[in-house]
Amino acid sequence: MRHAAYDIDCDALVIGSGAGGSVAALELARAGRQVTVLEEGPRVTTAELAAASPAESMRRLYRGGGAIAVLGTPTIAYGEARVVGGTTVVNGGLLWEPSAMVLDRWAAWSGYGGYRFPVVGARFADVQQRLGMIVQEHGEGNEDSRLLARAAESLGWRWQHPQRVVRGCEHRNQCATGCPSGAKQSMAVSYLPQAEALGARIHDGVRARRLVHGRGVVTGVEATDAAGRPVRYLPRTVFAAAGPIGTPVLLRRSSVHRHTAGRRLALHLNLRTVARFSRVVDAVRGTMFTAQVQEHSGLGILVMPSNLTPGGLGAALAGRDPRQVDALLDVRAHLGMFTTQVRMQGPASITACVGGAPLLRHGMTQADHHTLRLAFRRTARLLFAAGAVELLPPTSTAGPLRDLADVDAYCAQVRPRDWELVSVHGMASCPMARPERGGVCDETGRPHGFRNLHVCDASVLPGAPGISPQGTIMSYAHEIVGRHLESV
Amino acid sequence: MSGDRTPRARALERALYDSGLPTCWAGSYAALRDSRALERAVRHTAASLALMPAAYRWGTVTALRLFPVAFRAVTRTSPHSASPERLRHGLGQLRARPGYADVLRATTALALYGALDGTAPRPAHPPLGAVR
Ligand SMILES: Cc1cc2nc3c(=O)[nH]c(=O)nc-3n(C[C@H](O)[C@H](O)[C@H](O)COP(=O)(O)OP(=O)(O)OC[C@H]3O[C@@H](n4cnc5c(N)ncnc54)[C@H](O)[C@@H]3O)c2cc1C
Repeated sequence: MRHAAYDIDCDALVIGSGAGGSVAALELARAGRQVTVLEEGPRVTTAELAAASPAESMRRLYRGGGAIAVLGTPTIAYGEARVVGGTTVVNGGLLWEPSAMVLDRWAAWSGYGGYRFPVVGARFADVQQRLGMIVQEHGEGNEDSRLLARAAESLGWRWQHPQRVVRGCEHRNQCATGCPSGAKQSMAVSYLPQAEALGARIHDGVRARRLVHGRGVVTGVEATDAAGRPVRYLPRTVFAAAGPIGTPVLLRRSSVHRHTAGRRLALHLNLRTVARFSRVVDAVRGTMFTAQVQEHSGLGILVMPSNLTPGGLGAALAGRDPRQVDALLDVRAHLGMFTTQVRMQGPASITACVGGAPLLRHGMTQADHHTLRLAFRRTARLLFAAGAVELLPPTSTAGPLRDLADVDAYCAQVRPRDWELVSVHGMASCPMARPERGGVCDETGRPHGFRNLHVCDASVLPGAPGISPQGTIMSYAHEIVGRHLESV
Repeated sequence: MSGDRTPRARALERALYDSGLPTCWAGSYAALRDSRALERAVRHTAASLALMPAAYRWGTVTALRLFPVAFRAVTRTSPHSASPERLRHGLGQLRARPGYADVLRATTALALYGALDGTAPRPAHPPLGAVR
């Protein structure tokens, strides 16, 4: 039986409760607005995270049970969350400030000069203070990070302890499946409870399907509630923050800039390299990672250890021969898994929606392939300097590499389709830029031509910052909401 | 929790067992030999597939339905009755086939993840102080 839609009147409606949506929820509530937040995913408590196995949390917290495919050569596995708090619930809690250089480049490209360092840097300082950012030094574990840091020093390469938003991290190594101690300051334990204390209401399990609009004004948001019933919200102002894929999908489905929204999606790519050491590393011990090598950040390349869990290791090795998998799992105390993050130049895009699910494609370029090879070469050099005796490159058909000559031979042979790539940073799918430059949103975050609709999540960034993006997203969201509040 | 026992997840669990793939896993990977580990692997794989976009799920289900035929084509035995040596050989052959390589890598990744990270987490240890 089809249910009739019921209506809910509201003042400010925020769609999505992640890094961007939570800023809108809190700032609007602080300004005395009546705020309603729609979140498609469930509300999950810290106690529930502590009681669940990582596999259960993976299924409960991530969209598509873990990863969405970005089709192309090769297929890229893209991960994002679907839960109250958004992807900040499963992220590493890293908080980096965008550089003045990146912001200047974006200003030049977008044609908007209002988001340069003095503005965005001040917003970042506020975010950093509110979330209690710390410099994450080595804990009792983190041997993989120590080895990486020492190797960087021996090569004269720049490295840094990460900046993180954690209060009393217990080094439980479960960041990617939700912090079981509540130490990580995800939006679910920071901005959102503060917004609720100021009267904001979070409707979890509610999916926004379409914006109803006319003459540049959104008059309604059609949604489906947790029980599967249609519901129509009648807001005065709407902040779309459904993430780098969710927001353009919503705009396109609503015929808002349907030819430009989601046509370009910027990605950071992750290469995963498994390294075997002759000594015990016990990489499962310690927090996510405590050293990031930034020597090649100018090229958009960063190297760091990844959260190692037995299952994560097994999954990373799954394309290899079972005997090799068994042998490696047997010596897992000697293994570390390292991530090399690369800024992708060829854009991805949302090509269509099939059965309500977006179809993603990417167009990796020869330049990207070249950067991936360069990034892998640098990573290999670093890992051998760290004492690795064997490297398993991110290509299941390639054997172990034991020295730099093996690495050169691998890099000479690897084809674009051989890379096994992951991405957890999508951005710039509805960029803030002048329309003639391919922009979707104006300098106040409003899709061009709209008066009461704002975009304030990863999709509004003009490009990929080359660093973990949460700090940049939140700083932009604060500025967008701040400008809105000043204007009313 | 997390859709594990939905009708769709249960149907996918049956499709997985019928395909013979779990038998191949148990015969090939030490981590999946124990029956409880294999059960966790199958449950996680099925429950994750149940959450995936329909187009991807249908593609995987089709590959699973065809798996016994494909396996027989390369080993001349059924995956349900093959010796461990044959199981490894069959999987190895299919892993090299363009159509099956991705499906096998993706499902095996889910299976290993489910088996190895599918038990409740270790109890909390006392907070560790920062060691400089
Ligand atoms: C494993 C992992 C680790 C990461 N680590 C870091 C890190 O350490 N530091 C960092 O800076 N970044 C990190 N990131 C990336 C960062 O978390 C994201 O870039 C950021 O959270 C994106 O913010 P957002 O507001 O755009 O979207 P999200 O935070 O993804 O929030 C969007 C929300 O909108 C909801 N939604 C979508 N569509 C709808 C709809 N139609 N109706 C209602 N709700 C909807 C979604 O369910 C989701 O909860 C990581 C990401 C991953 C996956």
